[in-house]
Amino acid sequence: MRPLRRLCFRIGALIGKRKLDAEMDDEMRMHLELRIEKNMAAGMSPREAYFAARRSFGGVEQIKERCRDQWGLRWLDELAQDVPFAARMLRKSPGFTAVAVLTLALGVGITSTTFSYLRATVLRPLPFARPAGLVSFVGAQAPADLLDLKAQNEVFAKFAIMDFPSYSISEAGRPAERVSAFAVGGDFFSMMGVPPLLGRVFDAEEDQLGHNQVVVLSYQYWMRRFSGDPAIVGQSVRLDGDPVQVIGVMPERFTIPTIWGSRDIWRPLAMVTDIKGVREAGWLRAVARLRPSVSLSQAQANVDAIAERLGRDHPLTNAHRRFFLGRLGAATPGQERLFYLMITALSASVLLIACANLANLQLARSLRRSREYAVRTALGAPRFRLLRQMLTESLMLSLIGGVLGVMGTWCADKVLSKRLAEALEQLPFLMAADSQQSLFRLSIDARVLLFAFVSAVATGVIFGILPGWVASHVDVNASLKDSGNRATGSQSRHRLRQTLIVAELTLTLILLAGAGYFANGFRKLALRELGWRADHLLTARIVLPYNRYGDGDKCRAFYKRLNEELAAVPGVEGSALCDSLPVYGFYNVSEIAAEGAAPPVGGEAPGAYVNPVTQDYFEALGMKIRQGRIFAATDRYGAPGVAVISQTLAQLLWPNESPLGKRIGGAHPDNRYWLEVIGVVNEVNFSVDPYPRTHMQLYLPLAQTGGNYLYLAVRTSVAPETLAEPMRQAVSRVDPDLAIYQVSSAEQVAARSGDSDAILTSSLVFMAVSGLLLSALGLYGVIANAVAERTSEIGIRIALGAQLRDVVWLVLGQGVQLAVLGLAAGLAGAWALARILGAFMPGVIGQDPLVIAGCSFLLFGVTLLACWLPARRAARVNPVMALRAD
Amino acid sequence: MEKTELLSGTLDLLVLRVLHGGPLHGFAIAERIHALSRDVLTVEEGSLYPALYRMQEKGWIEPEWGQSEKGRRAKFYSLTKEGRRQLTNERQTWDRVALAIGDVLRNA
Repeated sequence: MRPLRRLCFRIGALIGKRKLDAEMDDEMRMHLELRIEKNMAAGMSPREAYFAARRSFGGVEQIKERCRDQWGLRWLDELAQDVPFAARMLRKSPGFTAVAVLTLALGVGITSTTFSYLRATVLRPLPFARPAGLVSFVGAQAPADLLDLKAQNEVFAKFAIMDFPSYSISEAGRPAERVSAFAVGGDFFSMMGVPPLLGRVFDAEEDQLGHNQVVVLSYQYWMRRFSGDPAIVGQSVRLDGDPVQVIGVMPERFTIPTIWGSRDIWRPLAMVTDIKGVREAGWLRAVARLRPSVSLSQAQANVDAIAERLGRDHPLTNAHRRFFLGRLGAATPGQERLFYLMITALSASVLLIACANLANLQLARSLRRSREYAVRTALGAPRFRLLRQMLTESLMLSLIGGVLGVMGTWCADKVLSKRLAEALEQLPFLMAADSQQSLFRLSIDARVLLFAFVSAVATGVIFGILPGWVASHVDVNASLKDSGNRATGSQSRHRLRQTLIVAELTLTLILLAGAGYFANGFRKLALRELGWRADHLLTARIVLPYNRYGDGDKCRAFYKRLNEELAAVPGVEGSALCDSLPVYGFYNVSEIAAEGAAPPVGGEAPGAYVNPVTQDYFEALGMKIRQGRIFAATDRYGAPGVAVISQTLAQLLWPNESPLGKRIGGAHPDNRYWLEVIGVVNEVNFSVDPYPRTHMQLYLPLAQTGGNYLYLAVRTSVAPETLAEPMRQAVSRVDPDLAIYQVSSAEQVAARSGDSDAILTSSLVFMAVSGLLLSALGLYGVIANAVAERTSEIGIRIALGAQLRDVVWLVLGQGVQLAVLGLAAGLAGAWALARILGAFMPGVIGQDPLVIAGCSFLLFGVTLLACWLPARRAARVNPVMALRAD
Repeated sequence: MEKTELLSGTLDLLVLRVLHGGPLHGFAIAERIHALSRDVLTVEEGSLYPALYRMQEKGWIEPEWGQSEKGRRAKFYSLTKEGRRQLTNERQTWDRVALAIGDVLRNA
């Protein structure tokens, strides 16, 4: 008989159990009646006939029982007994049940929340066709290199070059707005294999200059700017003043901020000819699809060969240049992935603590029930039947705990999604803040549910069955003869329980320390001296389009005009334009040297952030001038080059002399361009970027360097938010086609960036406190149980004259021993954790004796309390009662 | 009339063989075996029904409720295709074993 049919048969039998029983009765009764008739026909009296039939038939119930056995119905019968029995047993000890369920709910809830968070961020599957075949080049590349790679490779089926420009977008009757764009080669959309939601996408034809007046909108931008109006497709908008046609809208899932940031629109790259030969600088990226049957390593080998050839052909630029391929999506978040994994490991340790606790609870319980097991064994219950009983109880606990845990996850997801969306607004690449909400929505999907279910059941089963297995090794004789308070052979079980508790305490200390590191690190971060005034400072970004402004006189005229316009706005005390702001952090690091100085020993020249600024920058930011002067109107284009440097840089380059009048420049050996140092200012720290690559800073006059991508900083005498609109108007008075974006006060930015830290910290603190509670409960359980088992011994001690203090110490000593062992192991773990986390967040996390000491004290205090409660009970033992109880 | 215990393992074969003639209810199966063996073999109810349920679960026989000759509601068992195949197999095995046992008894 085929297995499937057999299964159906059994299930049918299970469902129709009652009907089946009735049928069996009918069948047997008819058999009996026929037998009686036959007996009577043979000449027996009805009475005789009946009894003879019954005699030969035997017990109807036994026959039915054996028939049911043939169908595996016994299994069902027993289960039907097990479940209500388990429910009764759990109801009978509500304390145990409540603690076990809560333990499970906490463990499952916390790990599932972390898992759902991971799924929303790192583990998010790429929404592209056959994503496994997509690779990207690591880092920014030069255009000529990419064009050569595209032309010469033998491994890629498709190859798309990408750039990330931003534009001012405007259409009739609306103020201009800044959008982030994705300029992509013609192959891009066919490579990704995702059809547009509306309209069409552009092709290689439209990737040519002159044919490229088309734009595709992202779903998020379409919703935000055009309220999801389908009629926008086919209409014309202006990008930096040029008319372009909207040809399509991509679906919502096509935007993946974790890879390239979120972009509002897609445009054809349409590379201009004079860029195509550039090999000196790299700012483009590339994605490619591997040919079928080409592996990543084969592709890398081919790319290596091309790189070598380029190195021979263009030794000046490409001699040591290599290109690295990574799977799309895997290449970018590498570091972050590891960091998330660390957080996951911390949250998993809560589950581990919960597991240990559960095992402990079950051990204690099975110990208490060993007499019950012994009785049932004596009455003929096979061992596996006892085990199954325990399994049923564990599963019931798991399911209840799991359901509660998932409910907790659901609540946590709601809160976290909202706060994450708020916190993510401040990331520099995210311009359309409100469109981010849907991207980082945490939700309980099938996988999260599966994860929660599996972890709950696995926890319940493994840690419910193992102690049961130990406990079911009952020596019936010994256990029944025993007086009941002492269980024989419990020594090894005690050791097991103590080991579990030590492991719990170890994990708890690591968890506490982890939370402490973050909390204290962020606290110190918030308290540090910034070196500039964050209050009353309004900031924004502004881009002068190259096609209208170029990079020379028009830009400089704009700097001046804007400064004048802003100065006329009431409430503005000063304004500055600059390449980067300490609110977000500086970008460009260059290697710096003093003119005439010997090249540094060991090769590496010191790096410093280079920030071109207008002359009012230092005053607007509220920085301090330590020596010399700052930039003046005379430091204009064509005048001798000047620089203002920060203190540390001055001390490093000219340790014992005044830097004023000395010259400074790029560290490469053939540098001819030297700048005179005219002033020294204090160092600044960054609000958003807490661990800069260097602390040294170098300022240049923006008038001498030029620049199109700028930040605007306005010092205000009134609340900065109130000046946002006047500032916008001042900009459009200078140029109505220009848009400013990312407008916010410096304090807002800092608060929002602090938000994500606060989420991380509070999540970790919550985990740590849960872990602490769980292990305190576990320790309490173990000690209380030990006291209960030793009641008569304690009674004897008291009867023999032991003082109250002696008894308390007897019990307390036991707990302290375990606590010390756990603390010692935990300290080692906490030290290692600081090293690992410190590598990811060097400015925030380091070895922190204060945190370690605090956490140790906290943990020790809590364990003392957990032991003291049972110790007090022990001290109150009435010797007479204790001795009589046996 | 003295009762003779069935050889173990032969009950299935006998039931299958008897059902080969057509559907029968439990009592009739027992009676038929009894009669065909010239009253030598008696099938205990306590063995018959578990055997019927086992063979049913294996798919060799199929039950069906119907009217008995005296108008009673009775459960009739009939052979399935698999049951027929099983009967052939068991019968061949039995023949071989019986022959072999006979040989041993004659020649020892």
